[in-house]
This record gives sequence, structure tokens and C-alpha cells, in this order.
Amino acid sequence: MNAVLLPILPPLIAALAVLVLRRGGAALVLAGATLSLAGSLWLLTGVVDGQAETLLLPGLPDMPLRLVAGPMTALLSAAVATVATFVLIYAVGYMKRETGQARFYAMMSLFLAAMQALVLAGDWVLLLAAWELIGLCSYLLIGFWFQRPEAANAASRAFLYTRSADLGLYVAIFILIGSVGTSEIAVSLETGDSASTAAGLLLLLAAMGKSAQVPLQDWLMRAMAGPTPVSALLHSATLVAAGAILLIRSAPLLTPEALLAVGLVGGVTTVAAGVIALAERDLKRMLAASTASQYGLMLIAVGAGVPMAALLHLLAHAAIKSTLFLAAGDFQHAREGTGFDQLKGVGRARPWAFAGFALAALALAGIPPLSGFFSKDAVIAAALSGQGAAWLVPFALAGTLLTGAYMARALRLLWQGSGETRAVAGTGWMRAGIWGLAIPAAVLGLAFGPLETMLDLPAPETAGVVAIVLGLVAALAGLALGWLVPVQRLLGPAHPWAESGLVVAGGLTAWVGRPAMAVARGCDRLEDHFYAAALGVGHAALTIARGGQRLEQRLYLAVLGVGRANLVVGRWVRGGDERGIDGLIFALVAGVRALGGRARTLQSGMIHHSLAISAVATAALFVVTLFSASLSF
Amino acid sequence: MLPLVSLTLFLPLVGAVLILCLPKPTARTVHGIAITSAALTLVGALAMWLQGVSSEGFSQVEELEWMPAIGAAYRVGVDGISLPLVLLSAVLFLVSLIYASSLRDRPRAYVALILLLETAAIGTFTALDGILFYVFFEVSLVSMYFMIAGWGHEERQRAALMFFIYTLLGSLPLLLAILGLYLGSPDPTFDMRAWIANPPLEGAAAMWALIAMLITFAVKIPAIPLHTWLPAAHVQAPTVGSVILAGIMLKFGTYGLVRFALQMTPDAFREAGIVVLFFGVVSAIYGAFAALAQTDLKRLVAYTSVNHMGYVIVGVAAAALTLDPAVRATALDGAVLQMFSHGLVTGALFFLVGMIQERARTREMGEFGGLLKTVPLLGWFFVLAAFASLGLPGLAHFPAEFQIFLATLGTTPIAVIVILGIAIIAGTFLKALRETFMGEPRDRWSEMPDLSPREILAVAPLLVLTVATGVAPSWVLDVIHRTTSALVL
Amino acid sequence: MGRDLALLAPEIAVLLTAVGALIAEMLRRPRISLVVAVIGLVVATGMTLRLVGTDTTIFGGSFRIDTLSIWAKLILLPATVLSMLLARADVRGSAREGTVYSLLIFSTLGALVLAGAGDTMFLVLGTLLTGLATFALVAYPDTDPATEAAMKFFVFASVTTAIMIFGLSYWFGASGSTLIADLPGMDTMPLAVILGFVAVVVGLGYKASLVPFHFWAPDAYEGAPLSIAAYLSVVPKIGALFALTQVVRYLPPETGWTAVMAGLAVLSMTYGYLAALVQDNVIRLLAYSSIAQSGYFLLGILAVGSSELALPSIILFAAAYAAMNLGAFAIAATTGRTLNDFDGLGRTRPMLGIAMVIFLLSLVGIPPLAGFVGKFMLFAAAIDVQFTWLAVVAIINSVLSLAVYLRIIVPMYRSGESASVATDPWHGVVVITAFAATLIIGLAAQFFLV
Repeated sequence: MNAVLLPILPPLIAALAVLVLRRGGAALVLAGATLSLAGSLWLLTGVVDGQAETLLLPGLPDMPLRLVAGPMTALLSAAVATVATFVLIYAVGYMKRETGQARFYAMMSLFLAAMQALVLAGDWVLLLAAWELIGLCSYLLIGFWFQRPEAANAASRAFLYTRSADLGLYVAIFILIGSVGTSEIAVSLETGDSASTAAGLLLLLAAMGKSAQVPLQDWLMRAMAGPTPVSALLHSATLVAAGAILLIRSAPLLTPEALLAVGLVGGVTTVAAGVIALAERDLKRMLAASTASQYGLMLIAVGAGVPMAALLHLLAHAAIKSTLFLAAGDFQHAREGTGFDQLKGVGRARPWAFAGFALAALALAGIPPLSGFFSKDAVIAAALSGQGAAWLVPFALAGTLLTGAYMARALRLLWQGSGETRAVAGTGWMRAGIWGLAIPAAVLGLAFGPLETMLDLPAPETAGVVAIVLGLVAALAGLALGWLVPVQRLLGPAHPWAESGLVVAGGLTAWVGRPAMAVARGCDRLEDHFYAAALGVGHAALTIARGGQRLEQRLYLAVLGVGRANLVVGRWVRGGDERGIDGLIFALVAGVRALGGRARTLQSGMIHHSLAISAVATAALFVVTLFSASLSF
Repeated sequence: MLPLVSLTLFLPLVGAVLILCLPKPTARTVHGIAITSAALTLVGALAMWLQGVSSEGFSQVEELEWMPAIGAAYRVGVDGISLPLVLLSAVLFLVSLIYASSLRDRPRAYVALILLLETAAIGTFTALDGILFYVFFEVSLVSMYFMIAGWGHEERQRAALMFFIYTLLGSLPLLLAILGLYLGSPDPTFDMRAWIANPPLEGAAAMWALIAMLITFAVKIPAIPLHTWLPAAHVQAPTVGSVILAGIMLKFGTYGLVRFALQMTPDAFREAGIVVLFFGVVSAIYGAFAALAQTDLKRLVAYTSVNHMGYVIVGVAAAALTLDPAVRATALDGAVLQMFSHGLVTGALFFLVGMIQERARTREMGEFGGLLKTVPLLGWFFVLAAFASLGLPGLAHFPAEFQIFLATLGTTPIAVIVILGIAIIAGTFLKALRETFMGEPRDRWSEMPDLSPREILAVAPLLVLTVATGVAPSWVLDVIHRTTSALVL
Repeated sequence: MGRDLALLAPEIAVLLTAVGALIAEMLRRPRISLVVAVIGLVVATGMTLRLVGTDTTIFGGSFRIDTLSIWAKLILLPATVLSMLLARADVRGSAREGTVYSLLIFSTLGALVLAGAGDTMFLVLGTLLTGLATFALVAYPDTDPATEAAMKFFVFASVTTAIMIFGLSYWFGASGSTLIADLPGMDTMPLAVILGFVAVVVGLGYKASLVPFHFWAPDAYEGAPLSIAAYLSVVPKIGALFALTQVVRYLPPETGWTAVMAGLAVLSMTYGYLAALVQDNVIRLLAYSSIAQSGYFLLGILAVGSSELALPSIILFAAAYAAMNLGAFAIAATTGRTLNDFDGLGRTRPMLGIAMVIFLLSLVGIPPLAGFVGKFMLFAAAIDVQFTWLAVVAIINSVLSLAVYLRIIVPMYRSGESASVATDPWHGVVVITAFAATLIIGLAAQFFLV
């Protein structure tokens, strides 16, 4: 067996096994995830020297499926597996009291397998397939509590948003395959300079959907209706990360115009989502908005032409954000909710979770020596170095500032207040999960140097003092503001708007959803017309037939009239006969009377008329034949 | 050497005759015979599958003199375009008969009709003679009419009437086209192979023949604006009728589009290709929107058929328009695979909707809620089928649609807007899933039983094939590609 | 002369059979009369089989032994046998039962004479022979409607036959011969030929109930016993249409007569089906449908001489038409005369229902039934002689006909109690025979394509 399959197959098999066996979900899936982790680490060690492992599988004609493990893909695969493993460990505790565990674990495992396939995909078709499959898995997981209407809605919305944006990926791939002639990603990247701006923008669209960039950010906040481990996995290593991963991998293809667009989308998002996060009244939703904001930072880095910086931030963020979510899930169990007013002071009661949360929060804000400091530093340095720095740097700094602010606000809200809480089952598992990820979140920054050498990607001069200073100042200022100033004062009159998610004129629902439904209803009405028209044709035929019948009846009445006239004539003639008219006429009269009588009793006068018609027709026939004969000479 | 194709073709008919000739058989016997003959037919189809096709022309050809005076003969055979459809028919009819095996209302006539339909369907796909093709084409129609008229739901006679007239109206132009091809052949013959090898018509005659064919096939497919019969017929048809109608009979239109329009009047099709493409795009998008507006589950599925068949039209039109053989092969691979996949997926969807209707006596989405909780197996099957229908990778529609769109972009880039249909259909199914299967379960349906073994036997094979085709499409595509890659137009 | 008589043997056998049936009737043995009639006709059919492939004329060219006349025997003699079996239920036990059989045979003989006519005098003879026998048959029940129908029929026949004889005299005057083959081309004597042609179309058109010479048909069918109506709709009609085929064989197509045929075809098909669409009486519906079906024959007739498909198509459709029409009438005879009588027939008597459906679908032209192959060939013949538009009209009419026949089919599958008439066992034989023929003719079409 080819080693490339190692990260994918174990979770896939585990998922199927759970679906079939319907029990032992946690153990099987954990085993699968662990094996996947081991497999990806094995791969990573195999490819550090730049040697790629490749596997071809039968796919579409002339477009085989391809798995490639290069340094970057193997690294991403390891990151995905790490996060997934710890999230699953945590889930054992978190899901203790839930029903439908088999479904949960199977889907999580499938999710992991699909994400591994996406990361390791070496051709566009497989990438697209995996891309869509993680959409399905997130749909099923967000909708895990499908009886709750808000979960059902959130799941539908998440899938619909991402899927609609995925059309960009479809078309981009068609353009790439069309221009390069093969579906192999590596080849596309090599000859990539021929790819058009259109393809780049379409890739961006797809990434915007998955990574919840403005204006497609709304689904991500609603997706919090799912179980918390799902959120953790979704935000850090799978669904949302896929968008950034796509752009990082396809960065060599992007034209300057496309890069600028990527940077701007990222910049707007990091600010807008940061503001939304700041105004949130729910911890998990705040984290979701923060995710969008952080991915905005990554897009800034890609847009600046330094995908390496984006990758570093992606890795750091994966560890940080999963830690944050797992801790939030712990609080959620303790207080039966995630609203900030429910969670007041929960940090005092759940110190281990809070410590992890705080560590990760500081890391995200960019406080040295935690991982976020290094990655954010790289992003700001990238923004400084690239084209459009004048745009990108302010956005990046504003994003950093906002990060500090909302994280500090969250810490304050979680810490202040009474520490009373109830007992939580499965705390051990959850604690293990949280700290398993909190530690990498703290120390990952130390590995960045070796990673850069391993990946051999151009990285900006991270040592740039300007970047460090700017980043630190922004982060510290943010933290201070968030801790000290109440959010209403901070945002001023914009606060209610930010609370509602910065919706512009009703948001996408009003801009896309309602018009689409209106068109649909219009089509439906049109359907009725179509149906009526088709029936109308049938009715028309019947009407014509009835008309013909009426004509026959009229003729019939007319003929009856002729019969009566005969009778009248007969009577008149009989009167004449009585006055002594000769016998010949008498005979004639008798005949006519008989005929008339027949017409009355048997109603057979018709025959005169029909004969007449036939006679006329004979004459007509003669004329026509004469005419057509003369025409032909 | 066994005449495999003919055996497969007439086995169902033999079963039907046997059932009609038995004096007073019990329902059990009737269903037993029917399922046995359909199973044997499937064995035949599988044997044909194992024999495979060669890359050039038709394989497994069987010929018998019929009317040599006018060049008509009994000729059957398969190529990579028809063989998957034969297999699909054999599978769908078998599961349909399994599903129908609980029927106690005049079962004899019912299963005899289904078996007659099976022969007609396989005949349509394997016929290599113009007259023979038309014969099977029409027989299927009549059997379907009687199935709807005899065993359909409320207001069925009107729907069936409409279906019948509409489709007959849409099949007689084909008759004219066939006559045109016949009279245009240098050595008058009804041999379709000869018509394909040397398209007999050219210029205006070819264009008229093409128009006649397009009308016929557009009704059958159905394409906008000739699709009106479809929702009406589906709503009224019994479950098995819907499954066969959508699963098999719509393919007569798309199959004809490839076999007749594309292969027999290629130059005219190339000229008119852009118009066909336009209608394909409109069909796909309009069908998707119309589906989105439905509240009746069955109508919803019916309209998604309009959408999916629209993609097939787009694929075939792209194949006609392109000059690059590789792109053409991709387009046709996609179109043919789409037919196959649609049969599996929509067949499963109609079964599941039918099962819901039989339990609840309604199909209105608003009446339900939380069915995933009440009838989990049915619910999850539906979820799987719905995601297959909206084109999720790993399920049957994805490889087909991917290839169609890829070829379309390579031919007429603007037409790729048809891909919007994917998003609309996704919205349609998500809405249906949310309203019907998710949310709080209602007390009204708490007694609803989950799938019985018979029902599982009917649906599960389709879903298994759906997954198999999605995960490893090459098992079908290899057969299709062998023919499409060697196609000369 | 001996050769001529040998070739005419089937006709002679038919004549002797008619006489034999009459004699049996005189002996007051109606049963024997029927047996004699059936055996005689079967023997005559057998004798005809020996002639298949012959193409010659006898009596100095005035009677043709060719494909058309041979097939006329092969189709009409069995059709007559079936009609007699149907008639048996209507006339059994009544006075002069045997006379009916003998009249049927005489009338058939007239149709055969028409179908083989190579001489204008045979046209007249055939018309009169069929006519006289059928007037009596229609009037047979001695009820008011029957008498009325017979009278109309008679008056109509007298006028049209008179017109025909009148017109034929012009042909004789123009060519100096009564042989059709001697007809001068139109380029020499247009007016006289045209007059004669029109007269022939009138005379034969009445017999074939082409619009606008069809008026007698619905009344006559309705007034007459059902078996006689069935007979009328098949045997004299096919005889007349074959005679028309014999006549137009020698007319060059460029003279424009084909356009006239096309016009009559359109009129007959369209008017027939439209009128049928609003009938509530099944017999009248079938009468109008048979008027429309006559129109289809003209598609083949106008291609005679120019397309090789013409003759086979006419023969094939004649055979198909005989089978499906007799079958439909036979079932109407066991079920009832109004559409309501068909309510639920398909449920209460499924086999009869299936048979009726098959007959009606065949009349529509649904493959693989006999009617389809016939119509298919007719369309091909018409298109072959550049009458594509006519084929299109015919096809549209086929759709219309579907609506007509569905009016019978739909109530058959409604729930309801069909007023089931007690059936004569011979009816069953007729239905089964017609059913088998309707199924087989399509598959065995090659047999007709000589």
C-alpha cells in the first residue's frame, strides 16, 4: 500500500465500521484518527527532503485521481490529523450524554478522511470532490441536532453558502484543465502563468465561501448550532481552513489583479468580522466571527504574495482556535449555554479550561512568545513587503488590534462574576483535548524556522523590526482596549449594527435568497400557464369538432324545413286537385307528399341535402381536376 | 453462441405472456414469475456487460430477416452508449417489481404491463433498425399510459391523457424523420448502422429531419417548453410508474438525441447546436427554479429531472458543436453517464417519495417534519439520494456533471452558466430536507413504520450503485468511453 | 378461355358458394347454408393461394389477375367468413337466414369484381352487384331505422352510380374502348378524361365512403344489424378502393389527379375524425372512423405508379384495416351501442378489454400492431412521391384519432358495470381471429410486400 493512503484510509474505514457496527464509535474513530496522524507524520518524515510520494487511482477518462504528498501537503495533513485527534479525545467527554453517537463519530471520522484527501489531492477533480465532501460532512455535523430548527437552518445555510461559492471552484478548474490540458495540480502550477485572472477570481470566490469571507460570512456564526467539537474541527483544520489552503496552494497561479482582489477581500473581512466579534453576545459566535477575521489575515498574506505567511498563520490558528472552542465547549457544559451573560465568571470555576482558553487567547492576540506572535508578525511583514501595502498594512493592523480587543473582552467577561457552576461529566477527556492543543498553540512558533526551510517557500524578512513593533503595539493596544473599555463605548453608534452582523440591506437573504425564490415562484406560475396552454390545444380540437357537429345539426334542421315545405306544397296541390286538376299532377303530388311525410316521421329528409352536397362536390371536383390538369400543362 | 441480446430483450415479454396465460394464478405466483423473469433479464444484461463492447461501431449484433423488401430487419446490438442504459433498465425494472410485489389490486395486468415496458425499454436501447426502434419506443408509451390510467392516483385519467397525447404528438415527427432517413438512403434501408456510417440526408432535408427528431426527443426528455406533461404524469402515476418513467423513459429522449440527432444528422446538428445548447441551458435552470418553488415532494423530484436532463442536452449539444474529438468524448461520456446516474438516483428518490406517500397519504412538505427521527432509515436513504441528486462528489451525478460542464466550457464558455443549476438544486433539496426530515417530529406521524425489508430491497441496490458509480465511475465510464472516444461525426 | 376460367376459379367458387347457400336455404337448412358458405369461401381462398405471384389479365384484358385482385380475395374472403359468423347471432332463427349468407357472398363477389376490374364495365358490374346485395342486407331487420337507412343508401347509390356510368360513357367515347388500360393520356383528350375520372371518383368514393360522398354511411351502419355494419365498413369499401387503385394505375401523375386524391384524403381523414370526436354512439363513432380510415388509403393510391411502396402499402393497410375494424365491431356487438355501455369493460371482462384496446390502438396506428405497419407504409409511399405535407396532415390526424379512440378506452377502465350482452361463441372466434391477425400482420408484413 502506498504511504499516501495512510492518513486517509484509517479514518475512512473507521467511519464505515462505526456506521455498520453502530457501537464502539469513540474507540474506533480515535484509533482511526491516531493512525491517520501517525501516517501523516510518517509521510512528513519521508518527504522532508522534497521527495514527493504519488499515487494514481482510476478516475475519469484521461483524468486519473492523484494523491501527492509533498512537504507542504504532508505538513498540512499532519496538522489536520493532530487537531482532529485531540478534538476527538475531547469529544469523548463532551458527547457523553448525547444520543446518536455512532452518527456523530462516523461523520467526524469521514470529515477527517475527506479533509486529508483534500490536503493530499494531487489533481483538481479529487480536490473538488474532497472539497464538496467536507461540505457534506459539515452539513451533517452542524445539523447533528436536527430536531432543533435552528440547527437544521444553520446546516442548510452553511451548505448552501459554501456550495454556491463552490461553483467558482468548478469553473476555475474547468478553465485550468482547459488551458493546461490535464487535471494535475502540479502541472497547472508550473504552467500557471497562463491561467487567467478569471480563474483566480473564481478560486477566490470558492475560498470566500468556505473561509467565510465577507460577504459570505454569515453562515459561519449560525453554524454554532452544532456540537462544539464540530465547531472546533470546522474552524481550525477542516472546512474553513480549506478555503485558505486552496489559495495558499494555488497562489502561484494568481495574477497580480487576482492577488489584489484576494488581499482586499481578506482585508475587509478581517476588519468587518473583527468588529462583529467584538460586538457578539455569545462566546461561540464570537469565536466564529474571529475565525473569519483570522482567515482574512491569511488572505492578506496570500494577496501580498507571501503564501508562506498565510500557511504559518493557518497552522498557528488551527491550534489556537481549536483550543478556544474546546474550552468554550467546556464552559458550555458547565452553564448550559454559551451566551456571555450565562458564562459570567465561569473561568473561576473551570480553571484548567480557562487557563487553556487564556493561553490561546493571548496567542491569538499575538503576544510573544506564543505561536500567534510569530505568525501574525509574518502576516504583517508580508503586507509590508507586497504590492498594495498601502491598503493591506492598515487592514492587517486593524485586524490585529481588533483581535486583541475581542479576546480581552472575552477574557474579562469569563473571569468577572461568580464562579458557581454545576458538575460536568467527562471533564478528564475534555481537559486532555484542550491541553493537547493548547501546548502546540503556545509553542508552535518555535517550529516556524525549520518549517520555512523545509518548505523552501519564499518568506518575508520576519526579522523586520517594523513588523514586530507594529504588530506588538496593535496587539497590546487591542488587549488594553478590550479589557478596559466596554464594547458599547468602543464601537459607539455602530454597536447595534455590529451586533446584527454588519448586515447590509438585509444581507444575502435579501440580495440572493429572496430574488431566487421569487424567480422560482415565477417559474411555478409559468408552469400553470404551460399546462393550461397544453390543455387548451385539446379543448380547441374538441371545440372545432363540436362546431362541425352543430353545422350538421343546422343542415339537418334546414332539411327538416324543406320537408315541411313539401308538405305545405302537397296540401296546396291537393286543394288544387280537389278543384279538378289532372291526374298526372295528382301522381306527382302523391310522390311529393309521401316524401314529405317521410321527412316528418322518419326524419330522413337529410338525403336530399346530402345528395345535393355530393352533387356540388362532384361539380367542384370536376373544376378542381380541370384546374389542376390545366395547371400541369 | 447464445443470442444474448435477444434473450435479454424478450425474457420479460415471455414472463408477461406466461402470467397472462396462467389460469387464475395467485398474486404470489404472479409476482414470483415477474421477479424471476426480471432477475433473469438482469443476469442477461450482466452477461452482456461482461461481453463488453468494442471501440468501433456496435457489438453483440444479432440480425434476423423481417421485411427484406423494404430493407427492414430485426437488428439488435449494443455499444458503449446503449449498454449502460440496458443495464440500468434491467436493474430498475427488477427493483420496481420487487417493490410492486405487495400489490393486490389486479396484480396480473400490472406486472404484465411492467414486464412489457421492460422489453420495450431494452428494445429501444438495443434496436439497430429504424422501424424496430420506433416500435419499441411507442410500445413503452402505451404500456405507461395504461399503468397510469389503471393504477395511478387522483385525477389520473386527465394526466395520463395529456401524457399520452403529448408524447404521441412528440413521437410522430420521429416517424417522419425515420421515413426521411429511409427514403434518403442511397440503397433504402432501415439499418441504423448504415444511417450512422453514412448519414443519408444533407442540407435542408437533414435540417428538417433534425427538427422533427428534436421535437420528438424534446418532448420525451423533456425540455422546456415541451415538458408540461411530466409533472402532471408524475403526480398521478403510481410509484413504480414514476420510477420507470423518470428512470428509464426520459432516457429514450436523450438516447435518441445521441443516437439519432447527433449520429445521423451530425452536420445539421452542428449548425443547430447552439440553439439546442440554449434550450438545454434554459431547461436546466428553469427546471431547477421550478423545483425550488414546489411544496409537493413528488413534483419537486419531477422538476429536478427536468434540470438533470437539461444537463444531458447541454452535453450532447457541446459534443455536436466541438471539433475536438477529446472534448467531444468528454461531453458524451458525461451525457451518457448522466443518463445512467439519473436513472439510479431519481429512481431511488421516487421510490422514497412513494413510500412516504403510502404511509402518510400526502406529499406536501409542510405536513411533515422530523421524519429523520420518526423513520430514520427512510430519512437517511432520502438524504443520501438527495445529495446524490444535487451532484455531490462520491455519488453518481458528480462525475457526469463534471464532465458535461468541463466540455461545455471547452466549447461554448458562456453556456457554463448552466452550472448555476447546481446551486439552485442544492437549495431545493436542502429546503426539502429541512422541512420534511429535520425539525421537531410531529405527533401525527409518530406511528409511521420504517422501511420494510421489501422496501429496503427495492431502494438499497440503487443507492449502492449510486455510491459505486460516484466513487469509482470508471466501471461504467470505461464502457462508455470506449465508444465515445472512437466516435466519428 | 380454359386458362381464363382456371384463373377465375376462385371467383367461380365464390359464385357457386352463394348459389349453394341459397339452395340450402331453400331446403330450410340455414345451418347447412352457413356451413356451405364457410366451406365454399375457405376453398375459394385456398384456390387463390395457388395463384399468388400471377400477374396477367383475362377476357381480353378486361379482368386482371394481379397482386391487387389476388390480395383482395385473400383479404375479403376471410373477412366475409368472419362477417357471416358475426351475422349468425343477429339472424339466427329468423326467416331467410340463409339468404343473408348468400347475399353477403354476392356482395363480396361484387367487391372482388371491382378489385380486379380492368374494364370500365366491370366497375359498373361490381358496383351494382355489391350495391344491390347490401341494400337488402341493410333493410333486413325490417325496422324503421333499417328501412330508412336502406332507402337513403339506395337513393344515394342510384345517383352516384348513375353519375359514374354517365362519366364512363365519356371515357368510352374518348378512347373507343372500355378497357381501362386503353385510356388515352390526358394530353390528348383532357376534358372527356377528366369527366370520366370525376365520375369514377364519385361512384367509387360513395362505396368507399370518402368525404363528401359519405353521408349514407353513419345512418346505414346505425340502422343495419351490427354484423352488416361491420361487413359494410370492410368488404365493399376495400373492393372500391382497390378498384380506384386499378383505375389510377394508368393515369400519369403529372396530370394533377394526385392533388385531387390528396384533397379528398385530407377531407376524409379530418372530417371523419372530427365528427367521430363528438359521437356518443359507438357505431356512429366507428362509422366516422372508418370514413377517416378510407382517407388513409388515398395516401397509397396517389402514389400508385410512381412509388414501389404504393401497392404494398395499400394491400397491407387493407389487411390490417379488415382485421382491426372487424374486431372492433365484433366487440361492440357484444357490448353495446353507446359509450356508457363500455364503462368498466376492461375491469369486468379483462380479456375482451385488452382485445378492444389492441384494436383501437391499431386503428390509431400504434406499433407494432397491424395498423401501424400499414400506416407507416402509406406515409412512406406519400413521402416518396413528394407528398410530405400530406403525410404530416395524416400524422396530425392520427393524433386526433387517438382522442377519438380514447373516448372508448377511457370509460373501459373506469369503475362501473358494463352492460354485458350474452355473447355468441362465434363472436369469440371472430374476436380471437381478428386479434391474432392484428398482432401478426405487423410482424409478418414481409408477406404482403410483394
